[in-house]
Amino acid sequence: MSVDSVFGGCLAFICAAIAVGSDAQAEIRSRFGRRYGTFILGAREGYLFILAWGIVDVAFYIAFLFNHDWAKRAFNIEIEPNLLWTGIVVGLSAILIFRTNLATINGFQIGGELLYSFSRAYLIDNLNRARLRARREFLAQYRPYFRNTASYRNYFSSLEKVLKDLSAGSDKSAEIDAQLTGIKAAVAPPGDPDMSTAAREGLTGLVYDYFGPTEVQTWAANEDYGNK
Amino acid sequence: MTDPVLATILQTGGLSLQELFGRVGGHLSNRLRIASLLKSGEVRLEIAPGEGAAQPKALEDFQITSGSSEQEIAARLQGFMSAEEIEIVPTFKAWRSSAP
Repeated sequence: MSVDSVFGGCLAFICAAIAVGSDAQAEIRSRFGRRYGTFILGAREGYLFILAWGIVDVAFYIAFLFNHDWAKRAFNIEIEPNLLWTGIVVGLSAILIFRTNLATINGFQIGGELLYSFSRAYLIDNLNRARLRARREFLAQYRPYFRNTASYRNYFSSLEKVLKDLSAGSDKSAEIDAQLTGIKAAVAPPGDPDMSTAAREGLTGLVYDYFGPTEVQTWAANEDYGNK
Repeated sequence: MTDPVLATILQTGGLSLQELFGRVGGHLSNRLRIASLLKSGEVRLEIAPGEGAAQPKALEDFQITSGSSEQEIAARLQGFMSAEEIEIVPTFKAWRSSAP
């Protein structure tokens, strides 16, 4: 095994890690938008996902080095004499390689598509669980203030102003406006979200989702939950 | 056609029953739809920790079991329409089946 082939394998791993990481993040972004706590490297499973598929791609790279014809026939990848370049190509083609159907036996497709989409769903599920757990714990700290409408009468309107200031001009503003409208529309009795526990919770969750816990904490400390 | 109840749960990644019913409406057809999703294993109920003593503490307290019919579950859900501590969360199965 030459030095070039080892470096080619390293390049394949790095490029595959970038490719699968970007693909998973794009999939999560398409489902959750730009919510707090949805960055895949914020969870152990994200690293595991990237590492595992990076190793699989290096295994394909090694297999291709020993079988140029198979690489060409099955994946349309030319194995170049320059192994560094080959490593880059195999790495950047990682998702195509994983998801290619290699054979069909009795109508059953043999390939990595099933495994890849399973692992991605596993990542999304685990990332979402961690996000929800953190969100739930955060909101639980504020629940007494949601319920205490007598002492904190301006909770909703004060935090809503903070949210509007934060979202103004950002690429998240349309998403946020739509959800804020939904929260206000669900208020019972209608017209006074400051008196609604559910609206207070919904709004606090919305600020947390798009701007993280620090903005809520800062608002609570500076504005005394809307009393200043 | 995408089911609006499941779509809402997937888009939010999970929300309290109070929030869910606030968004999609708590009428019988939606409660039956949620019951169907619970039975098929695409969503699950979770309880936020640290709530008042009067609130249910475990899923068994909902008296929803695998043997419950959709009508029975829908009836139970009616009692939890304003529950802020009970969350409905998508499962791995839901993420898998909704994958592009």
